[in-house]
Amino acid sequence: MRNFVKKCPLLCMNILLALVVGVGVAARYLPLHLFARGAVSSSGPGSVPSSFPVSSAVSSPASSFAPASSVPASSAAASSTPASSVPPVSSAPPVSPADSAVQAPAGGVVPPEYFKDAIFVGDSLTEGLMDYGNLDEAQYFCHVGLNVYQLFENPKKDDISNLTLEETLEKSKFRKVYIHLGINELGTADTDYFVRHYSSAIKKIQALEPGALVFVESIYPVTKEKSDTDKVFRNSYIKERNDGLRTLDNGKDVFFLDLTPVLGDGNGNMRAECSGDDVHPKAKYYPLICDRIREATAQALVSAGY
Amino acid sequence: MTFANLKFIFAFLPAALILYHAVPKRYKNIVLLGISVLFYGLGSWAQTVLLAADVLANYLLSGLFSGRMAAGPARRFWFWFTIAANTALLAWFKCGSSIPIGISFYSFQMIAYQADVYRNKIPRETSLLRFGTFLFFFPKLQEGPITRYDEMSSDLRNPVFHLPDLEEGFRMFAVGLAYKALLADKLGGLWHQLSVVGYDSISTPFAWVGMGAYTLQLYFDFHGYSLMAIGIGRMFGFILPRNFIFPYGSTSISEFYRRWHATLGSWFRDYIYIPLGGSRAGMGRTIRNLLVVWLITGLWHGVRWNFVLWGFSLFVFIAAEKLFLRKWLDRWPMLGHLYVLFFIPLTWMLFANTSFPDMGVFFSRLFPFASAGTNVFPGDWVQYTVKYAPYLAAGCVFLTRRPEEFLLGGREKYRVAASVLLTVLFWASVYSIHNSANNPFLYLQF
Repeated sequence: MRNFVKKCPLLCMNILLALVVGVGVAARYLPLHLFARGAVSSSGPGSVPSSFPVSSAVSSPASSFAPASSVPASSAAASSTPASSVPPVSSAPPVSPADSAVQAPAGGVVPPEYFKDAIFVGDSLTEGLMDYGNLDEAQYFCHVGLNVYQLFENPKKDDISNLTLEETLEKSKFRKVYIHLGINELGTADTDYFVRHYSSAIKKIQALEPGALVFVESIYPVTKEKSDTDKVFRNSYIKERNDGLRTLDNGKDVFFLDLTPVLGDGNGNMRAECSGDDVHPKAKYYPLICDRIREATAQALVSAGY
Repeated sequence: MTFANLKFIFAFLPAALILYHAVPKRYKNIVLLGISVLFYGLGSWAQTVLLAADVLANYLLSGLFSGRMAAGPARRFWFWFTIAANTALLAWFKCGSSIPIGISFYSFQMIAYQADVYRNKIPRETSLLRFGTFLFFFPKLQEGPITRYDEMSSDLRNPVFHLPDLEEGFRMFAVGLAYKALLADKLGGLWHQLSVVGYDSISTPFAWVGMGAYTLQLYFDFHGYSLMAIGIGRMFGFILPRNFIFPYGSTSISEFYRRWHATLGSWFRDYIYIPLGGSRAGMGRTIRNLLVVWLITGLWHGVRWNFVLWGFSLFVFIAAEKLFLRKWLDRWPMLGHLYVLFFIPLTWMLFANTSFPDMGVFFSRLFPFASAGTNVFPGDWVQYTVKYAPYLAAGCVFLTRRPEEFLLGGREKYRVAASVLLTVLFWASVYSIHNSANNPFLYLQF
């Protein structure tokens, strides 16, 4: 044994470290397993979570630098909205048809100036919109890997300004808030849970920006190849989530924008040539997505009577 | 199962080592064979059966052209039959959709063994157990190094163990693991981003940075794997051949390919180039022999036109060097270094892109004389270069000799410092693997 230590010091040091790590890992998980039965993180859309699910399922590859968040079973109260952040009912005046900032356009699409007081909130797909789209008048709040639970409940910061969404909304006045989230939440919880949290986030946004219109962008489908081979990223699940998001549309100040026609193949999949990784649209498609956003916004305003 | 996997590092490997070193000498080979079969079988039992059948067939066939019984035309016939059968098996699977893991590597080892037996360079292995253990030997099973039989045969006959083998082997394994997890996998993210954006829309600087990232990723992925394989082999007391000898320090492309995937290069030299006449039968024959070698090299990597084009492009450089370029490169080594560092990454772009349209678009982004791209975001390369700067820098540093030799404990004076750093890198690699999904070795389906 002494010979072993003498001849193999590096290996011995690492075996010792491995034992220490092993004991540490066992100590961390063992008691929790005994006392928190059932508090395992959910893996499919149909399962009901009992612990706070945070997993960044999809992000641009650069985000592999960020360690996946572990799930402490003690935060089992995640299904209720955190008490501290429920805002008082806003007394700001509702949006009126005469409000020029939100008036319906003449030509079937809202003009670029429409976005001067708009903010786009989302994950790496919104970052793509920012870098490769043509709505330069707008502001963007994006964080690679962002999910709806990280808007206010467990807030992440914008990748450029380093502010949370709440700080960003407090800092400037926005009349239109576009949200594009949903792909990163696919492996976690069910549609109901997702939509409830999305709805709470919208209420929080409306409290911070009274009178603003909120546009819920549909989740982009993935390509057929991805959908057919992946356990989590399936277009049937995406459609289910989008149908849930559609229920948030109240025809007054929260609108659902269906962006699927731009990239879709007519069967609920993204066209294969639109993506290099089966999930993110290629840069050259973002201007088309922007055009569709302008068109869908106009349609929403018209049907709301603005 | 792959090496950069926590279950392998902390469960399979320690158990295998303890078992192998605990059993008496006469059982070591059967235990090693069992471990290797299990390792391969955990991936696919069908592929394991295929390899076992291949081993048995080759074992029996080699008896037909070696030893006292075999002579004259029969001997020649059975040898060529064996070579044809091995080649046909390899070609059959490579042209198909599902390529058994390791087949390109073990087929070449099989052919080398048969040729060495036929030429009386080595005696035929009479023990099926030793023969099978050699071919199944799990450290080199999936992606090489392509090992000659006589590099392992004496250790298979008489395994002698030295404690320092465990230490040196672990060192190499840890360096290889760090190359894979901390360099290759990370840099892969930058390269991947280019296809996410779409080649049409990448800026020219981004294309060049991306090409650099791919070049580094490919090197650290494969060199890292090879170091892990050699390190594990060493921990079992076997010495596998070096596969990468700081190829990016070369001053010609001919030299580069003696130092990159060296065991493949020497296989082609000994079993194709030299038997065809090498460079001894005049320039015309030499050029023809080079062409044959490089076309087959391309096909060995994949039966697709881009690999053929890749192989052919290397033939053009190497032939040009043989004809006239070499004397300029030898006279001005700095020119040679720049020549290698400029052209090799460009040839990798033929290797990396299986679709010709994609390849064309990518080259037009590298050399944007005809087109300005579609919807390019001019600042795209800045954020990625900044984000990946430490990895790009570390990658460039470890292309050179000294840093790697330092980590491998070459200099006695610095061994303690190297060991401390290596320990940190080892655990950083483990942490990184724990956090991110595994990234399959680029060469795994060869």
